[in-house]
Amino acid sequence: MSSITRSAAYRGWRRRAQGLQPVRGPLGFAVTAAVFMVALSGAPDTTLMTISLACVYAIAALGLTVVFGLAGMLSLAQAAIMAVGGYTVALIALDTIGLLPALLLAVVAGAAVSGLSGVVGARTKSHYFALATLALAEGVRLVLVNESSVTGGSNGHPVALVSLLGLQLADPRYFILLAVPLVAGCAYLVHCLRKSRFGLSLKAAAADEYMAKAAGVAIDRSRTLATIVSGGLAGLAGALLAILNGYVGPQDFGLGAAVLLLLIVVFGGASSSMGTVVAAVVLTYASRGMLDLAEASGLVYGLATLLLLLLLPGGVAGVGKAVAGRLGGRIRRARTRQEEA
Amino acid sequence: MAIFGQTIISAVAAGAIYALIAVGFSLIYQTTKLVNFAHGSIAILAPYVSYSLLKLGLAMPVAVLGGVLAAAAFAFVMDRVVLAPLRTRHISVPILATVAVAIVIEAVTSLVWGSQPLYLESLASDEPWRISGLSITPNQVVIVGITGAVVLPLLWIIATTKVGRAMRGCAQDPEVVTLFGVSPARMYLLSFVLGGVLAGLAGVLIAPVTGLKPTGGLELSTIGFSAAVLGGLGSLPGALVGGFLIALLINMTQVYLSAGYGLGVAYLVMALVLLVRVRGLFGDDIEAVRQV
Repeated sequence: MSSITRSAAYRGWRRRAQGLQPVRGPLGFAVTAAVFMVALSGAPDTTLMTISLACVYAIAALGLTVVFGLAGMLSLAQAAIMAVGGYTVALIALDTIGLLPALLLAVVAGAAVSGLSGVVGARTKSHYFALATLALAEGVRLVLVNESSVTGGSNGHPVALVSLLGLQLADPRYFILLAVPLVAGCAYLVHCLRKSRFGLSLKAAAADEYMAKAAGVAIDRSRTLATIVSGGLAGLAGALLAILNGYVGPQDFGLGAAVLLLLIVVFGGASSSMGTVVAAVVLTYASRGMLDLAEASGLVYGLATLLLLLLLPGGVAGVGKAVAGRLGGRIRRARTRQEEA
Repeated sequence: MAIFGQTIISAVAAGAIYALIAVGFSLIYQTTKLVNFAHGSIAILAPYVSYSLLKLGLAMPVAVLGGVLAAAAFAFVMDRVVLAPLRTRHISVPILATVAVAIVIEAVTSLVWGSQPLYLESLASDEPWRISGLSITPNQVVIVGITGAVVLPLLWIIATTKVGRAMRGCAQDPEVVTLFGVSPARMYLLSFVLGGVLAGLAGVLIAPVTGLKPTGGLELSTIGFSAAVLGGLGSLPGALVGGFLIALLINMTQVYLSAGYGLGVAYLVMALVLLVRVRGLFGDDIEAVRQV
């Protein structure tokens, strides 16, 4: 068999495989989700709670991959945007408006507030954006604490119980049924964004602003849009957290949570949604495990972040890619040897 | 009118401290292009160390000096151990590392000294002098005096000497600076140690006024950032002026508008400056921030 026809057949196979790309992503997630469901049917409540929280953080972190992972803009406001979503759900009459409109409202509110930071982010370099998001995050916290007649101040605000198809969502057992498909959907959305022209323009702007501008990339618009998308996902995550806890309070959305989300993105790597989800599960498990350590948890947490940054440049996905790249190289070399022979 | 005058006086004292923070922060930024989120946390490390040294029975000046040196030493270690290895990575990685350092400092202080507020003695008496209806404490005079005695010579040195020029050059182009026989790594280290000294001084001066909390570091950082951004990030005289302006705004808001939103004004000013005039009051055009 000549090598020409063979490589043509191979190219055709690659093309068809790429055509399947939009289906393969969600299919993978659906299979994972199904495995999850089976594995969890008899799991204890604490495990279910951890998985539920991991879902919430995964959604917010998927949003953050767009801004931080793709566009390279360090945002410290993601947890505060979650608070916006959570308080939106807490303050509207959940029982009259219904679950879906409430979640949509939370998404819109999160996107709008996050878009404010985007207006600054579009105009300035990355470190100014970090400062602006810190100001936004602290500003949100200040409003939540000071306007106690509306938000309940530092005591927080209760959230009405919601049920979906008769299943109580404050119970992690049923919450997961809603959250896992949502995580899959968000992961797929971010995956598509990453492959799209929009994702490419963000990556180009992060790599070299001058070059991207010269190539006709609308940097300002892409960056603002990135913060809006990321804010929408954070709003959704915050709303889910509020529904799960039946309560919102400013202490759940502090700098610690913001850093946890950034850590998930660094750990999961910017290049894969699956990596982000895995990192969210691992790090939520780790941070829940550290609850027993009380004050020492901050120490472990900060040191872990530093070690991660110093020792693992590409995150977990980076390690996976490196291994896959090496394996792939070996397979390719073997194939060329075969063809030569 | 008496209230107004009194507000101005306390704003000047607070402004001197914020200016110390902002100048240190801006100094680090103008050399390394790095936003140091741990700056305020390093500042509160100093009074904690001073507190322990006082407990050991050392004299006040020795304890204060020890605290400031500890902050400088911490900044030294932070640059060598954490930031130096990250220098080649994307700029957001070292910035995230400084956030992690801030979290570590907060955790360590609350582990070692507890999360309850502590009180440190002032350097000078808090017994006010009455001058035509206004009261000024010796401590306020000492705060302004120390700030002036430290910051003004420092600004002069950095503006006129070769070392100052080398530091500014590092931010523009580390490679070209190397050709002139300057080691950027050394300049980075120098700016961090100087920033640590300034932060430590600010911490020791502000602790007797506000009390000592492990969570105070981030608050101090954001105020310092606002002041530095208002004055123009990377401009040292700008940071000095910005510190006083921000203190004035915060105190005026707390007295005349709302006690709870004093800090909110600082954030609002920072956001507005970033939106309308990114180079602030005295930032230069080359640094004109928006690269494209």
